[in-house]
Amino acid sequence: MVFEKVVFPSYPHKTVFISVFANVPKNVLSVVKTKLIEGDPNYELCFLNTNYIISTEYLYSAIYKAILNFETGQSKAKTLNTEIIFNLSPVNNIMDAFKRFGVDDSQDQSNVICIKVIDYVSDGNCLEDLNTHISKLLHTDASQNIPLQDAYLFKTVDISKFKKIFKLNDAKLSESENLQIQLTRLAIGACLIRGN
Amino acid sequence: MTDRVVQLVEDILPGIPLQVVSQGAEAVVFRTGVHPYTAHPSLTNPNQFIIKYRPSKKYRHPKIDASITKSRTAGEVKFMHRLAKAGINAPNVVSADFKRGLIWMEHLGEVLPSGEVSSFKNHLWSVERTRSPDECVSEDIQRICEQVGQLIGQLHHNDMIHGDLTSSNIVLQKKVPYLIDFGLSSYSGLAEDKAVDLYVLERAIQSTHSMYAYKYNQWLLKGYEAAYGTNKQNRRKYVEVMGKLEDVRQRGRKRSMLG
Repeated sequence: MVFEKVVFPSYPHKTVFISVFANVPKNVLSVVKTKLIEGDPNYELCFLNTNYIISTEYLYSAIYKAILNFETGQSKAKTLNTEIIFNLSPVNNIMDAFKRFGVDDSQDQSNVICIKVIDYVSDGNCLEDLNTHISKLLHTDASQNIPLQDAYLFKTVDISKFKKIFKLNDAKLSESENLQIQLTRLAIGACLIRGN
Repeated sequence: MTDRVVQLVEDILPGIPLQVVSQGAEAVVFRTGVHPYTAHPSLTNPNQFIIKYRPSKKYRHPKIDASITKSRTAGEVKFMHRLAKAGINAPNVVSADFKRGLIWMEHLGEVLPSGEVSSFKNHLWSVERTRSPDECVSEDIQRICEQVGQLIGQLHHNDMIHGDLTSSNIVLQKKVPYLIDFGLSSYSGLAEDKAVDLYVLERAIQSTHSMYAYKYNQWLLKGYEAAYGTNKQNRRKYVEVMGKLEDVRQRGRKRSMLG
């Protein structure tokens, strides 16, 4: 059972649950996608692929911004789960954000990040139950449930594709500084100014 | 004024400890030890952050006020993102809330022995105050001045105008200059606008560091020139800005006698 529990200082009453599953097969992901479109209550989670998730900091930034937008009436999407996907994107189009950051069933297998924002959790048990529930939905075993780590995320990102969608091909990157950190900073900036 | 603003921002950000750093006509700048979404941010200073807050103005119509706050906050974040893309030293943006006029950004600079922030101004002042006249025009100071000039040259080379260049809007971190405060920034390719930007800094240096202003300005312009490089086209741009700077020095910042 590997998952993260995050609480943001501005929203102490909200608990963010994040877990990662590696190499989920295509046919399972297609089912997840269909269920999400149907609005099945068992699938009321935010499902992401890891193709463009450059770092945990970038992921947290989008989750934080999504909660903030929801709390202050600035959200563009109908649900918080969709708002998270939208805030990961540098493009002001929800369908486009789904295509890039949502469940990816175009390859034989894909990594999945599951996020759920819960309104207050006193003990860890219900998060464990949630993680079990997700691993059942994704038909994964314990070895596929992996920790959320920067080094792993960075490895799964195709840098040239990443630069393209974040419009960073003309960005001046320093050779002496860490690439993941530089791309994280630029990606966060690009998402913040989306549509403004 | 400040009390009202502090109250407002405390309502928006409950539980976030805030310390007022400075106050301008349009915004108040706070320092905080809390990062909005991660305990391990990938920043040089992972323990302190800056919050810039644009409070609503009671004298403006509420609808106009909301739209001004939003567009100015968004504009500033956009400018900072462009700086980051161009690799120009400035604070990184951490997060932003356009509607409520909040920007979280990286905290730059250190605390000087005098207890002040290590801005270009405070650094020069502390040297001027405590060291011999020779040390005020030392190679170390010359290098910093040239780097500041180079930084502004880079900015102008990207057709970006700071709009409020002063020695206190430049912060030194480990003696490397960073630009801050983009509340009056704009985009322009005109030599005139770049010359005015330089002129504002030149006058600011003359009034805050009058003893050594001549030397400082000389070095600043030397660094500025270096930023344009030796490429023929860029050289021409540099010469054009210098020509305009001479015009601006003759007549002052304003182009017409009105306003």
